Amino acid sequence: MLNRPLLIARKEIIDHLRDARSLASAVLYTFMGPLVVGLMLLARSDGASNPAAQRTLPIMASVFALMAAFTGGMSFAMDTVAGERERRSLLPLLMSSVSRGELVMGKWLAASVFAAAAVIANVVAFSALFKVARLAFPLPSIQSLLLLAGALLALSALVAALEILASTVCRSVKEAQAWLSILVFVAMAGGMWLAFRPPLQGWWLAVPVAGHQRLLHAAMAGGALPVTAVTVLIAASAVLTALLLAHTGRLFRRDAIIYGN
Amino acid sequence: MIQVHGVAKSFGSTVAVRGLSFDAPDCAITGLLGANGAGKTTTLRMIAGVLEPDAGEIRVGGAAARQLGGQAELGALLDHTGLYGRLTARENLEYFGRLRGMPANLIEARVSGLLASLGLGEIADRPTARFSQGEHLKVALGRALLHNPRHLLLDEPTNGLDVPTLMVLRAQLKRLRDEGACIVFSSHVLGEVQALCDRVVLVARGRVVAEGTLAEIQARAGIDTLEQAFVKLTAAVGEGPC
Repeated sequence: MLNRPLLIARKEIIDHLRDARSLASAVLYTFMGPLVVGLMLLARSDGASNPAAQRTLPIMASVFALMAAFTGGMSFAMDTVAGERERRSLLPLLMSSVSRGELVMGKWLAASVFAAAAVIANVVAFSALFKVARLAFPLPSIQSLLLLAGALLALSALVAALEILASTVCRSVKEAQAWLSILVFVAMAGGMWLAFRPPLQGWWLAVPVAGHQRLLHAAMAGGALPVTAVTVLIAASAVLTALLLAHTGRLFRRDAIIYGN
Repeated sequence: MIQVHGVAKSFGSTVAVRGLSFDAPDCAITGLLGANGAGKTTTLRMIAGVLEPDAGEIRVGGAAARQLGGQAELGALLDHTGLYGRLTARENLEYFGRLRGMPANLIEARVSGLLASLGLGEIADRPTARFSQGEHLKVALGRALLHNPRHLLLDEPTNGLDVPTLMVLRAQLKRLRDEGACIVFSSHVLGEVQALCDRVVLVARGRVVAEGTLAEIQARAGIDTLEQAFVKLTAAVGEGPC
């Protein structure tokens, strides 16, 4: 049952990795956060020991990591549905015994891989930077690291589903680019707003994206992650992802989605 | 066998196909002949299962066209080649072979054979983005023929092909027909239809205006040449945009 979606995902990943310009852009966005924070630390000699920096840097890192999840698969998502529709390469796929559901699954899987690679690379780069800068954040426990990894994978899957849906409803690559850029901006602005508010409590932690930002912040500062809250967050993200994919699958039955008119 | 019965399709206020019916039998090349805008491409897209008819029924080898069972033994080259530019010609074909569930050794043998017969051997491992229009078309033809389909749909497949490839295509189509395949071939080039087709379905303004062998079409029009028969029969329903 998963054979064709996996075949499609594999081809999409190989194909996209050969697109040097879009890959360079994704890498640049992924490491933009660690680069900016690293330059700030270089500019201030007391950066690492400054209490304000100790408080602010994990917040900034959490917002940049959230953004990396959105930018990592953005150009792929644009190209894989809106771009393919423009090039009319969706048609041969749909004439090859590939169901529309399998097509959506394959493209979503590939977008999830790019989003997950970006957010994990971003978090690892921030951790390395904080270690090099000798910021005194305690290392999270193995359990917290596993919980964080699970939450980040769920975030990547959710963001990928959202981006594939956006690319599906847009009529051209240009339109998809405009809407996906707005999506990244909303994630960044929302993350920044949440980051400087009092810490989220209770059911807010189970709200996808907002809960992820709070988890990332806690993990970057070396805090322990609450098992129940993370489990609920992962489950909520999975449900939302499934709903978005089901909606995209339904949209793919429309002629206009395949032909763009 | 491909059976099209009472099929209609509109795009907004534009009626593309109105109550079109015909059968394309096995062991025959059926030519769908009509002027630009007659509804040939829309009909082929509906047979291929990528467009949903507003009315009517289409069956491919007994299965409904929109069902994947109907597509399993269907090969199609419609109005766009839709190749992946960053993949090589070989990779494009291998990908579709895998999607169709062909065994790896069969994919390798079929892809190599098709690339050689279509004259793509030397450029088989280059990304298709750098290919000419004719080379694009050859790869797309290879993709349509890859799984030796029992039903084959070709929409103006000879546009942009060089003479040697045209001869290869004709030979491949005749071989497939002799092996029992049902081939539907759309064209507005009368010479191409005469050279290849066993039966002709004449389409005008989204309707079938005549069908049969070339001799039957000419007899019905009472004219000796297909060209004049085409003009006479289509003029009866008024050609031009629907």
